[in-house]
Amino acid sequence: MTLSKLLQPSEGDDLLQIGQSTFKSRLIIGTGKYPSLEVAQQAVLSSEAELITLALKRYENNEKNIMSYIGDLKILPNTAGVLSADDAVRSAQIARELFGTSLIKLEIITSSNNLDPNMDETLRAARMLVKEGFEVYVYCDRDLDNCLALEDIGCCAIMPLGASIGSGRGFDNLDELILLRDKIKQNLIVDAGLAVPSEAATVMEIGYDAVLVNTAIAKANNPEKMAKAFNLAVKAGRMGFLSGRIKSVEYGNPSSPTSFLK
Amino acid sequence: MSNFSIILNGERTSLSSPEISKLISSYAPEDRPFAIEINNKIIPSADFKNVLLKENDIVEIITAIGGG
Repeated sequence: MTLSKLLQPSEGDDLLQIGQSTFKSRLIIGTGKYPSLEVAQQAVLSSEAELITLALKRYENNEKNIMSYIGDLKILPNTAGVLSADDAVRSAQIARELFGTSLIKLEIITSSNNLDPNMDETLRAARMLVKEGFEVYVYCDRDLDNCLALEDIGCCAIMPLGASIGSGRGFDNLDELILLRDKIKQNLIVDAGLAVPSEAATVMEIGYDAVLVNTAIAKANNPEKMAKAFNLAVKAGRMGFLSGRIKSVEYGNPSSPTSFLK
Repeated sequence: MSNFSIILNGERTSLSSPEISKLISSYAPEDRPFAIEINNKIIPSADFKNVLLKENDIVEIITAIGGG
């Protein structure tokens, strides 16, 4: 493991700074797929998240109002469902008008059957959105060159997928996530694929700045309890990172005297 | 003005007034924020008074939903 960041943990109050926003919590919660808005609200409270994602849709007058459950939480609107950069920009502009925020989670999928990011369109949209003054949190693949390009463009958070959206596979390739942490200076957030709290802890231990979780909490048998478990795991992983892990070595290194009674 | 029709949230809808305020009072939510787009162009709320709807406009009333 060649993690320069891991060996040089930061000190201080350990607040998370993303663009113009500052957070105590390093857990971002998605609000989709919950059995009810009441359950979603309980889970978000239990998670202690300060930033939640929301999506856009046509208004239907028989739907409950999710905004009444949000309180003081900061909103990160997403561009979910779009397949092109042009539609992503359109979605971001609508979100800015609707929520009064310049934050946007840029998410352009390859197709509705394959939810992995379309990186050509994502890079194109990121350039346009940054130029328009948006604070872009970008869902992306784990390709180093793509992530470096998104960092250069000025995205405030680079969010590679752990595994496909909603898959619960955890990490398709943890080594790629480690390499990204070693090379990317901007905020790195794993978005998508996580299933259990230990995976969130692992992400934080390797120096990621935050994790974004939706399905693992929303579809758990007990979302409120799972949200709390993710909250604790993110805190534990972060504390482990800041404490500085030991270097791994090829052979055993005794913690006790190596000869009996001498 | 006589009735005319627009495509509102994907459905052809007959209106008697071109004013956006009338559209809002009939079709937009009162309990949550919303945004209005006409022919793929977002209309800032400050401009609602200045824009008139016309035949075959494609209008979207958009609000928030849970998402990841």
